[in-house]
Amino acid sequence: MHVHNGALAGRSILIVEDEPLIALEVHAAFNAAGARVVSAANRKEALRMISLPGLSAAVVDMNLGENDCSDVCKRLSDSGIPFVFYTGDARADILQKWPDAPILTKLADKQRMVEVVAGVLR
Amino acid sequence: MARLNATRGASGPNGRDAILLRTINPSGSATSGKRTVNLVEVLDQTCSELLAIQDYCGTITRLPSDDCAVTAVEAALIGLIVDEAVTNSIKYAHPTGVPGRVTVECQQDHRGGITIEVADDGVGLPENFDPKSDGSVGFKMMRALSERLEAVLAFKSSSLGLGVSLRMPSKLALLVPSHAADDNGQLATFSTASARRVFAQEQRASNPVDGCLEVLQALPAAVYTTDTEGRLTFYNEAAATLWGCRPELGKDEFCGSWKLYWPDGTPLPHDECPMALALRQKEAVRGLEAVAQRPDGTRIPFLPYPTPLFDKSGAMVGAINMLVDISERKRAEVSMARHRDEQAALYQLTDNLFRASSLDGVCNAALDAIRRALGCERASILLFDGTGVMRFVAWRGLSDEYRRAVEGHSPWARGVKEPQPIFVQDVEAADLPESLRATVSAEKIKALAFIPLMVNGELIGKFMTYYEAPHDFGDTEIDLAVTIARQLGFGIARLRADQASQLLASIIASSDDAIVSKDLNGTVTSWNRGAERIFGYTVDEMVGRPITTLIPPDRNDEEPAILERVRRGERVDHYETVRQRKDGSLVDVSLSVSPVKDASGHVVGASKIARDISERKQAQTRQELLTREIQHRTKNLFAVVLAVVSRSFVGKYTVKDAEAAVVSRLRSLGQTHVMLLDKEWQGADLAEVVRAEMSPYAGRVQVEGPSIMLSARAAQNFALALHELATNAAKHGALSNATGRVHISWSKRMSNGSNLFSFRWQEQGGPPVWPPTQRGFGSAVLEQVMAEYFEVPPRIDFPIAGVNYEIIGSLDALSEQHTADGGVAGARA
Repeated sequence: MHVHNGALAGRSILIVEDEPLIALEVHAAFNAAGARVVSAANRKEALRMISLPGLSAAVVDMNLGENDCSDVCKRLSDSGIPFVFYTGDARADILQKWPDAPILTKLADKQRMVEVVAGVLR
Repeated sequence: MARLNATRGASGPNGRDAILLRTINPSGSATSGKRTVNLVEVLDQTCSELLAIQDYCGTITRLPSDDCAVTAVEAALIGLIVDEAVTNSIKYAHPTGVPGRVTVECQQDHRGGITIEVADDGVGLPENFDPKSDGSVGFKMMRALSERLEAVLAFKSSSLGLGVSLRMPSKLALLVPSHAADDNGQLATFSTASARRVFAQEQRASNPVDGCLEVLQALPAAVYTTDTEGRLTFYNEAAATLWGCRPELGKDEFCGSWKLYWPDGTPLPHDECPMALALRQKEAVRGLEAVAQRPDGTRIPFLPYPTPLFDKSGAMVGAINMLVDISERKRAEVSMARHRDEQAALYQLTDNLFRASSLDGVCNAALDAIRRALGCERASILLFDGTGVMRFVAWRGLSDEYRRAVEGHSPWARGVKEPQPIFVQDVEAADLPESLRATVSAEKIKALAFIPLMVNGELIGKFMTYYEAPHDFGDTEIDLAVTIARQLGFGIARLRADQASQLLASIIASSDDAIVSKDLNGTVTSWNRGAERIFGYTVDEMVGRPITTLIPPDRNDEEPAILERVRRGERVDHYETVRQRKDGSLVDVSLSVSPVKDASGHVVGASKIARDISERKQAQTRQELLTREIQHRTKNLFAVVLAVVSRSFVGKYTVKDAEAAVVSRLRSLGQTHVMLLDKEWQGADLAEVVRAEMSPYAGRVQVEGPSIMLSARAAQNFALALHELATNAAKHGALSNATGRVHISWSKRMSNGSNLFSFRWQEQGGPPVWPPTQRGFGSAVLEQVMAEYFEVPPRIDFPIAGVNYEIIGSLDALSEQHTADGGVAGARA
């Protein structure tokens, strides 16, 4: 269950996910890997948190209910924070805009998720 | 051929009859029958009169001739023959009308025989023409007269001209008693019958035309004479033939006919006939017409030329009448009138067909024409119906029984290529099936015709004519019938085309689709109501304007491409694009563009059907959205299940405990899902969510709160939170003993312009409560999951009297519906 990953130890990871139970699970996975986790359930919250100092990476649900995640991705990109898409339905238009961001499907294995995020760390 | 077959129009009273009357009338220039005349003088007079009468551009010359003495009668007969021969030359020698030359001469041989020659420099007689038997009245008369003279009539025809010679034997000289006959050897010879008859007639001094009777008898025209009282004194064979009877000389008066009528059919008493008139008035009567009825009933129309005769002293001695049979002319006139009527009927048909706007109109016009041009009282028109049965569509004078009996009968198979008209001259004699004959006879039809009607080479029906007596169908009548059938076919074809185009026009007009046409320059030429509705422009606004009016600026390159394809004769099918309405809004359309060709197959424009597909497009968008929503929801649900399962194992000491937790949490999740699915994922009332989760503990739970609609996700999370609270209460709290109770309450109120919501779970009467030592799934849900909705974090307290859970926050966060397409909507109340 607990996936230790040295690369993530002590890092701050932002989880942008509007489904609390899923956020909870992702949260737990990164906690277990030794990372600090902050989570945002909507765009507004996410944009606020990106401005906090010290974020190392973000996991972004592409489908944020109220709107798409484009402005969140842009802010992350502008701030130099690498991010990974975590999504149930990959939207081609968004993927096109952020070709460098890896994609994890919602049912991805937690260990793989941690590894992918570790891979994008700068 | 024209030389002989043409009618001798100039014959009649002015040519021949001038000679006749001149030679037999005592007061004329010639002498009586007893006297002799010099034939040369007769020839000269004939030539000069012909020149005067016949408006001839050539010359008629009498060549040097011998003086020949002949009797007046012979002179008259010879004069008539010469007249005919010269007239023939004048008329036919030079068909091209160049001036010709006709010569006349007479020679007498040493024995007294006389040869008269008439020659021209024309084209000669046509090939195969036998002057001894062929020819018109003129030739017949020449032959008859020469026979009467017992002379030899000979024709010498070549491409250099025609020569007519009349050789008379020398006996003529015997009839010359005084100066001309000096050959004594022939004086006593009265050997020929004609000479005897002439002499016999000369004895009868009572007849004013004595000595001329021979001539009159020989004439093919009907001639008779009367005395001053009108009693018949002579008539020739031609007259007897015309009258059809032989009247009694010296008794019957004025006219030898059996009965007389005016041309209009009113009876004409003999004593009022033109001859009677001429005798009364003592002058010739001209210009009247009468009809003689023969004893057998046949009627002969004729023109009379009654002329009174006077002696030298000027006293009337009788009258002569010539009757010219004009039945041929009458028949021609009737036939001409008939022909005019037929032409008029055809003209009227064309005119009526042009105006007819219905099948009835077309058929009535045709029936009128059929009856008028074909002279039948009854007629009908039948057409194949949709099932290929020939049915009456119009008729005149047919009984219902007859129509019922023969409907469906067609003499031609449906698909036959060239059906021929069928004419039944006599129903009784025709080869008809007995039942058909009986039916036809019962309708009193004795003759009938079937004329096929064709449209574009296809048999479509027939018209019928019916006659009440056996009928001889002449060529003209058959031609007429076929012509009318053709006209009627055209009329029906035009009507059908009109109806088809009207139907098409009304289909186009009533279509929901925009149907427009444009020329090859892209100029709109027609614009239907569908186009008005879809694009907002009226027909007046668009016809004459370029079709590009409809094209949004970013699609300007489409029209040239479409026109290019149309010019090549290609179609454009279901091309989905966007067009701009008059109000500037865009409309999704599916275009089908087809080239429009003229009759010779040249592309002259395009027809364009535009279907408004905005609704379909919207439905398609909705469909795509729903598919994405389902995809999203399914994956989310599995992710939630994964989270529930994986979190449920955290802090559990046994697999059994974990299993129980997983099962109960998934059951709760499933139950909430079912509830939400029933409501089409539009959300649920908080009271309902509470009732569903707390139903196992009914009676120990007190619920209190207004109706509040939660979004689907809020409802799901509330259910999960309630599940955790209830499970915990059942394990450790108020619901774990027999006396504990749970009080659930919520409320909403306005505060600073926003809806404030508060929710409380309070346990009482349970065993003493200890705060949990480990933070598991339950507290994660209660603290973190529920935290999403509220600015103030949820509070869970564990006083010894019972668990107390409280959340306060904005109501809007709970009811906001996050839809998959990114919109935000209120939960459905």
